[in-house]
Amino acid sequence: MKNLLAGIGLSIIAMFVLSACATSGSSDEGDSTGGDGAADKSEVTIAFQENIQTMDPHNGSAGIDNSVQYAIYESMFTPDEDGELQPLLATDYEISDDGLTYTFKLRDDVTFTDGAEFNADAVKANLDRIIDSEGSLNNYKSLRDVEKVEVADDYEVEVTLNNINSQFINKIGMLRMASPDALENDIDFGEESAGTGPFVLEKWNHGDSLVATKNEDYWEEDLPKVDKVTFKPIPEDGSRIAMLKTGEADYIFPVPVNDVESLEAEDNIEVSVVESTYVNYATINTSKEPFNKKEVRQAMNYALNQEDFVKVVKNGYGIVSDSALPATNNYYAAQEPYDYDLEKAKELLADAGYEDGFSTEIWGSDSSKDKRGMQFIQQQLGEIGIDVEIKQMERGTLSDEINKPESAEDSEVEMWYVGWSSQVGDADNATNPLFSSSSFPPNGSNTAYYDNEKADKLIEEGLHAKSEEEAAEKYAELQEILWDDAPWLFTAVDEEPTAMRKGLKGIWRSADGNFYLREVEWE
Amino acid sequence: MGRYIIKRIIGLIPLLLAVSFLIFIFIHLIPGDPARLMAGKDATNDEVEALRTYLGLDKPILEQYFIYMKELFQGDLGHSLRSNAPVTQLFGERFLPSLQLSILSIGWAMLIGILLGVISAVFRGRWPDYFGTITAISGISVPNFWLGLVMIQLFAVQFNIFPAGGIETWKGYVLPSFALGAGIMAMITRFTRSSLVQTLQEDFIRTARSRGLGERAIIFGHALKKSMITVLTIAGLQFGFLLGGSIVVETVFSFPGMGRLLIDSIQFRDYPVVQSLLLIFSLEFILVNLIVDILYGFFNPKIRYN
Repeated sequence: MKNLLAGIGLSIIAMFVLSACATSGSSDEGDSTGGDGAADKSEVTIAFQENIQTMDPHNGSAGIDNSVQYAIYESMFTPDEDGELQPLLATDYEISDDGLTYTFKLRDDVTFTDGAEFNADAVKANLDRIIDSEGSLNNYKSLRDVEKVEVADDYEVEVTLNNINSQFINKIGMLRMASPDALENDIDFGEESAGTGPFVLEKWNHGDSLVATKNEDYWEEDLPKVDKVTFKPIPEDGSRIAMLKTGEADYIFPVPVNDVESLEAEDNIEVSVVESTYVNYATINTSKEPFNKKEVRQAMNYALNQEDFVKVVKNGYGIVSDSALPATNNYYAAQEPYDYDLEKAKELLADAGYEDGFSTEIWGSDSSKDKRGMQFIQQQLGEIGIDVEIKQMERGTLSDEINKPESAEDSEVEMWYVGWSSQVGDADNATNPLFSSSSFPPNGSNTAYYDNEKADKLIEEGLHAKSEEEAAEKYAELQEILWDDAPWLFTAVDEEPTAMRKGLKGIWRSADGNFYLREVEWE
Repeated sequence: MGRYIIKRIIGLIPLLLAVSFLIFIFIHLIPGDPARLMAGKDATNDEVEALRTYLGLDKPILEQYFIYMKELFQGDLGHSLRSNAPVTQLFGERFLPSLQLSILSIGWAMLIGILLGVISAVFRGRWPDYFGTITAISGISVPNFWLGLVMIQLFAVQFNIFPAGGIETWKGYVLPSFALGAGIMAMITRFTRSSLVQTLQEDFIRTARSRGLGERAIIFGHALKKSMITVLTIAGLQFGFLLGGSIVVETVFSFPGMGRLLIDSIQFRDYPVVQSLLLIFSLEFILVNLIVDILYGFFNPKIRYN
């Protein structure tokens, strides 16, 4: 029996020794596990949370889809780090005096990676595909107002709108262009790519990684500066951080705010924080008692300590809201804050006839993050006698519950804890689906059932303004009304930490959550 | 035996038909509208409707089922609503990694589990038994996501022996298979031990001893063979579960397996992917059970199938 035991013991020891030899032997080769920071300077690996859903350049919905696609497919314009649009595939554009016709002048030195030429016909083919989809392609929303697209010249396209749209350039300018041949042949965009971008799709292993390699014939000389970019969805926060530490990933986000400090302590890691366009809030159903009284909604806002919200719920990574638009939006106008004031809140409640408070319900997703936010609101509103019950739902169920009622009368939601992210240049998307009376579910996300004629008119006027100044004026007035009417419980705008290996340059995240890597390189 | 297997396989067809119908109905009954989830919160109702029509979700549910079945019989599992990739392709990319991971996990779990179980049974009530018991209890009690994160911290971040995630090389399989197999190893240890302890008290063992057989021959030649029936049942069931993928371990190790595919697809109500995966899981489970049944006969020739 002792022999048996000794035998087993020996074999286990032998196994360990063998496996140790095997692993130390191969890690000397410095393959993918080499985490000494001596990363391969010709490659970049980017890790993020969400899965890549589609590589169809006209159907990206999530921020990740868009960002990955921008490495391969380019748009006529692209934002710089300040959120200003800069020419990319277009060189310039003009708007007709009536504000309805946009003329785009295109670069004449660009070809798609399948050999097709980039010109006015190519742009028309792309826009037509999106318009003809009538909604089955996600980018359709950007072209809702387009009446027709015409080729004016080899490198000139004219787009005519039904209505003036002050936000239009931000929408059409960001649409990705694919080779007209590829569109005609209906290629599988998950298998091959045909863009003009700095990289070419090499291989997409769904759910594991997407590898893009250098476009050798890229139209801008000296770019790209790396040979290969790998995109990896890594759902678990701890794993993503471990991969950055070991060098398996070079650039990661989101970084959980609790881990920022420990990452900053690492020698070869850099953390940066981006002020985002993501607004956190809870909608208050203005069509229901007691929320139909403005005093009640204002009281709720006075009762919520926004600074504490940032500290407790966002671990300090947030900026107190002082408008319905985030400060990162081009049309943002700051308002007089609802300073935390319980006395005033109670007074307002009493004025409205609810000095004893009332009971209500708040809905939200089933994430632990959202739970924390709702618990904070529950605790704060409890201070003025509003008894809040938290109801968390899985996202599909929640979406059904929100969108089932066809009118304000049938609506069941009282408060909804949620958030909204929009493009920096797009004030329409940051107001219309949220505050317009035409956006009651299921037609949009106005779950406050906010119905204000003046606001509706300003949303229209802002969208159809003929000049930037006029639009800015309308949106400023709109923000003032929204702030005073308080259809939301205002909380904070997210600040988003991103972490990368030191020495990586030319990759950056925009406020609206995209990342851009045209000029990515190692120092 | 051959006839038995053929009979079992023919019996699968009505079973799978019933399963496919149930899966289809259940998936369409859970709340959540794929068209709305895909279109986004800023979509108008008309845009959602257009997308629904485009995806074929506006047809009556039974009609959708018949279309699905018709395609299924032609070997077409449909396309993902979300990425438009064929389900067969999505499945193909995940199946092999999941299968390899399952085999590795069950392999080492059985190897170590049976060894520890035998040692515990033979040295019942002495320190090797306590050692085995403690290992087994730890294996069952430690949640595998925690074990996974600790292993990443230790073997990837500190010692840099294995990658923290992904499966570019064979090393990517090591940590996940350990995290996944730990609980099963513990279970097999316990079952081997209790079954062997019982067997060792039976008459035929006493007979074997009285014939002067060596202890090693008795344990490995006679007793363990009988105990294997229990172990095999457990291992077979666990293997069936493993093939379906482990959402938690796959998430921790960013492992491109079936579990993550399933959970991602459920989140977006990607009907074609979810229903095909569930159907395949059912088939796998039935097949594993069939194999276990056949193996019974190998360990105990008295078990006969007619």
